[in-house]
Amino acid sequence: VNRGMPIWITGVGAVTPLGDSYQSIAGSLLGGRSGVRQVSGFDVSQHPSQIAAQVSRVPCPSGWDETEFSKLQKLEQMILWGCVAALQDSGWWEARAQTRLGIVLGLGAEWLTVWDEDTAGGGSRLHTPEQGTEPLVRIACRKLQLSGPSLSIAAACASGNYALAQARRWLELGWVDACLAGACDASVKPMGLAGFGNLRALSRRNHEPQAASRPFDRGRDGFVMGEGGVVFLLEPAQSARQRQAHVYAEVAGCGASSDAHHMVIPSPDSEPAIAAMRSAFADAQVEPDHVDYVNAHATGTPVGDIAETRVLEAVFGPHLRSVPVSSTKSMTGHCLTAAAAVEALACLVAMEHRAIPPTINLDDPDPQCNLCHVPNQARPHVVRVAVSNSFGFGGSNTCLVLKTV
Amino acid sequence: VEPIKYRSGPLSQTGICCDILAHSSLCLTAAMFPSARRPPDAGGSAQLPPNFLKHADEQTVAGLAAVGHAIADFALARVPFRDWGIVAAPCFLGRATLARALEEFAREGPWGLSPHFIPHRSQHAVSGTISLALKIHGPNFGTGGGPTSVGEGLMAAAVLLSDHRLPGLWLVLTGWDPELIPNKDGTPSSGNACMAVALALTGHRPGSSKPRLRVAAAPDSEPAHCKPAEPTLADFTRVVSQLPFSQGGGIAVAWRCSGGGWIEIRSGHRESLLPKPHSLQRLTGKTAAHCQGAGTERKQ
Repeated sequence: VNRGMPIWITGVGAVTPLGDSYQSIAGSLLGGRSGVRQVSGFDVSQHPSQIAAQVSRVPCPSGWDETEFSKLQKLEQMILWGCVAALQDSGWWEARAQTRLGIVLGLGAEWLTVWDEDTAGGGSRLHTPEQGTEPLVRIACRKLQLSGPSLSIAAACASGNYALAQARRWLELGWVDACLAGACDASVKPMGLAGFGNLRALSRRNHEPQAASRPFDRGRDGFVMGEGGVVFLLEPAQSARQRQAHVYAEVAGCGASSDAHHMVIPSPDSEPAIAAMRSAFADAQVEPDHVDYVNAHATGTPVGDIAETRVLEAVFGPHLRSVPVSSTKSMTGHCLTAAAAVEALACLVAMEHRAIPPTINLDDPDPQCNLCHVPNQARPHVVRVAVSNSFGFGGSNTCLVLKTV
Repeated sequence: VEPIKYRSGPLSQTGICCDILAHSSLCLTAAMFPSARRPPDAGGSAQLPPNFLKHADEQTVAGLAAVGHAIADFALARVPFRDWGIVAAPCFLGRATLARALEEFAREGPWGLSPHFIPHRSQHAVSGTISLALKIHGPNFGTGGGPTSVGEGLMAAAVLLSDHRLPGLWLVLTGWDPELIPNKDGTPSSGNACMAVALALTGHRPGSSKPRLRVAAAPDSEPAHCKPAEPTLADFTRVVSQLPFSQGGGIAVAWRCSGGGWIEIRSGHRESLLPKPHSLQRLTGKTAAHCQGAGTERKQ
């Protein structure tokens, strides 16, 4: 075990409502563009919430058969696109089969998604247990010729941070030479929209979709569903140096805890979430005054944003007044299982471009969310240490610390 | 595929090693669920409300029952689980409920879908619910989901314990045997049983005589004894139900991991453990039975 070995991100593959490349997503995030629209692809007239940040089309990786790729389910397309792009971006693509390359992906409801889409397309996998039982991470390994271990992780909206933590540990243990890690979600479907809608978690600002996702704003009325997938390539610093790879950031620290309060409702007790943040800081060996940017979980629910503010107040104390905080869910929607990975990408953008992506639609900040906001427009700011919070159903609290290299 | 038993040698010194502090395995048939949904006394925490498991999936119910048995059988009721973690690896969670939900959605539209569907049928539902029951404030997540759930659960749990941030970890593995073919009303048919294994794991303490779990995922570390197959839940249940399977210790059972490497369960000294599990009837009534010898699960 090499506990002190720095683990770096050297590749990114992504498809989100804001674009399907790191550069296009960065441009949208810093431009304050919303990916939220009226839902397309199915009838939403009976749904309480009729808006979402959808991925209209997942591109086919170059060299792949477009016809075959188009027949795959959207979630599998996202995984394959993200993995291929991350491998190519990192420079591992050609050597992938000769390397101990693992994969850890956050997939929150893989089989529900697969069965639902299959049933909608006239398939019978739901009722035929022997049909189509290969997990998506294994399919990705097989199609990409990866020889290392594979794992899927589900912690609802915190899944991506858990995946990065697990991958980092595999590298420290020497189990793999490089590892793909991230999360994907394709839940904007009739059942998903109805499920979250009936939980009364979604915004019903159907008449103005792009203004609907408004974390920290006094007028917020719930989150807006999003979808997408982001996959990172992680490898030890030594390997990246030898390859002279482009380095996005170091995965410096991860912390996790559980509320043990309720499957859906955030805990009134801030301590577990505070503990997750402090654990991540300790892991990364950073103090609160070292942090240059917080990408908040802030989904735009009335209760959740206030609860997170209490957590940030406790963790940062007086430093909180000077630490920029934004919620990029205002632009991407809440990408659910993929949220943590999407927001880790937003942190990389902030580091590379020396600018904080804004919280759009933040016109009237809630006085109970008294933070150093970045409203509506990106703010120039040097970011050496970025922190990303991701909390989820099941009481999960996670925090990721990224450092520039 | 039968796991291979062997006298473990020096190769078993590699990988992540955990002590098995407690274990339990059980099967619940459809008829047992009404009583099993009464929440067990899950240790020293406050009493759970009677409707705690009302909306929970059957695999969650079975998983929590297995944890409750392990706590009772190994006298862990006074152990503070607050700082522990929990990893759960259900298999094909929510298949039956989705079938029913799709019917209801087709009939009634979006409002027909229960708000409990997503929280209790997502892959984190088992770990999340057990974290509530035991008041666990450490990490909780689900893993696996399909036929490779057991291997993924063991690997994820061992990795989580390996950085010594947690005093202990529950690993809960669940699935149907045979796999469900859903009725339209979403209930399991009488021929299916829901299996669950619970392991209470701690980091290995040198000199400990407890049974051990060892996981190594590096492809170059695989012992020659490994069968080229991952454990199924039935395989694993059978092994766990026989722990400890030797007086003297030193017998190991090994399976191959995905991507190379291996998973090994090594027996401990019988004297290191309290009497074998005995309290199943307390929780699930006369019809409950241990899964000892279970093995009808379809091999993947």
